[in-house]
Amino acid sequence: MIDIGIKTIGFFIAVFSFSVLINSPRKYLLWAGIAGAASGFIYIICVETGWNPVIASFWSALAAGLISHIFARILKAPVTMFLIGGILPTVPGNGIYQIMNSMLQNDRVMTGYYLTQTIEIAGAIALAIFLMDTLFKVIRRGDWKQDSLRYTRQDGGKEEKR
Amino acid sequence: MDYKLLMNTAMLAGKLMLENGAETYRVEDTMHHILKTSHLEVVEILVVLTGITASISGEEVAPVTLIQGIEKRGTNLSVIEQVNQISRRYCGAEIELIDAYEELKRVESVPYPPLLAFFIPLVVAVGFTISFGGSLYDVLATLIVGLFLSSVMAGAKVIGIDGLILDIATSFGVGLMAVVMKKVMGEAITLDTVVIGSIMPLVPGVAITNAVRDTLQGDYISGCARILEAFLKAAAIALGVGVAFAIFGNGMTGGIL
Repeated sequence: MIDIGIKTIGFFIAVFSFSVLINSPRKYLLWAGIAGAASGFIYIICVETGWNPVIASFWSALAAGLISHIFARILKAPVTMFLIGGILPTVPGNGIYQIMNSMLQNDRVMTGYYLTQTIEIAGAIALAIFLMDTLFKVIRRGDWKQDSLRYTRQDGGKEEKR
Repeated sequence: MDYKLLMNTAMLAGKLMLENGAETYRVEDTMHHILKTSHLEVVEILVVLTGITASISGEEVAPVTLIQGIEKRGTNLSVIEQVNQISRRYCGAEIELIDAYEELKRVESVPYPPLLAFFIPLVVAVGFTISFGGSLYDVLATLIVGLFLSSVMAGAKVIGIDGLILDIATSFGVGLMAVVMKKVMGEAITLDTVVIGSIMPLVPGVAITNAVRDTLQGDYISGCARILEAFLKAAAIALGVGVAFAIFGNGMTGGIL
């Protein structure tokens, strides 16, 4: 349990500072860190349960997408601000390293294994982000609209009719 | 209404967003909103990763068309945020067109203090090493590797190299330092954990996110370009670490160090 807590805090620190690295506005740093910690937490839990890293990445990226969209609507900011940090714990840094390492040791079998796994993880992340984007497009109601500026498009429409 | 100024404003907003790592659909959306305030019949915008084309025309208005090439590309979310706010305020009729244009011209990145910016890659690396299950010794090793990484990144900024060469150089530095730390600390550290944690500040997280969102929005040209970017960055990182391992580690040469 303590182990999971420490790892989650590690993810928070990492994503918080990664947001500084890509020059996120100060007011969103904390939120990006929370999105990253949450997605990292889900990832650890899934892996501890004994699931395959690909499935763990999928659920983790799904959680990242959900949290990022919610934060974006609450804070009226672009989703990207939180999503980049949110999916960072699942980005296959491990895969990149293992592919390189197996290649270096001339181990074709393991190279193929890690290459396939990395591509699968990338696919899982893509699927998760796509699902969440679509979900939030469908349930766009009331104040929960896509923040990007769409609300003004409706105002523009009204003015045109007048 | 001054259509040329409107066009310039929309184009400037689009350029700033695309140069600083916004998704293609967001650029199109923002420009569309700004141009729609003219209430002309035809508002057409085409955004790809390397340039923007936009055109407006109406019954009594001759077509106004602008093309803008985009040469530099980076990631700077604070600029996107500022442009977003300005265009929201303009579209919500809070500010006039000329003011919006002047404000857009004044938009620049809000940098973090240099000392903080220097140590940030180090903190990212340490955070990831902790969360990938590193022991106390792994974290100590990452501190030193990360310090080296931070120095290489800061040094590269001074010399002025960027892009793939920077990725290769920094990951080479990480690989080299990790091998050295392994020699120094021996069995106490796990080489894999230290290296994976330390290359995390370099991984193409932004490129992957944007690649997915662009491709699945239907912007295939931008999507493909970003997927290529993500793959190239990953390959550059692997290449850097790999070369360092091959020369100094126990790989092909049998280990010089």
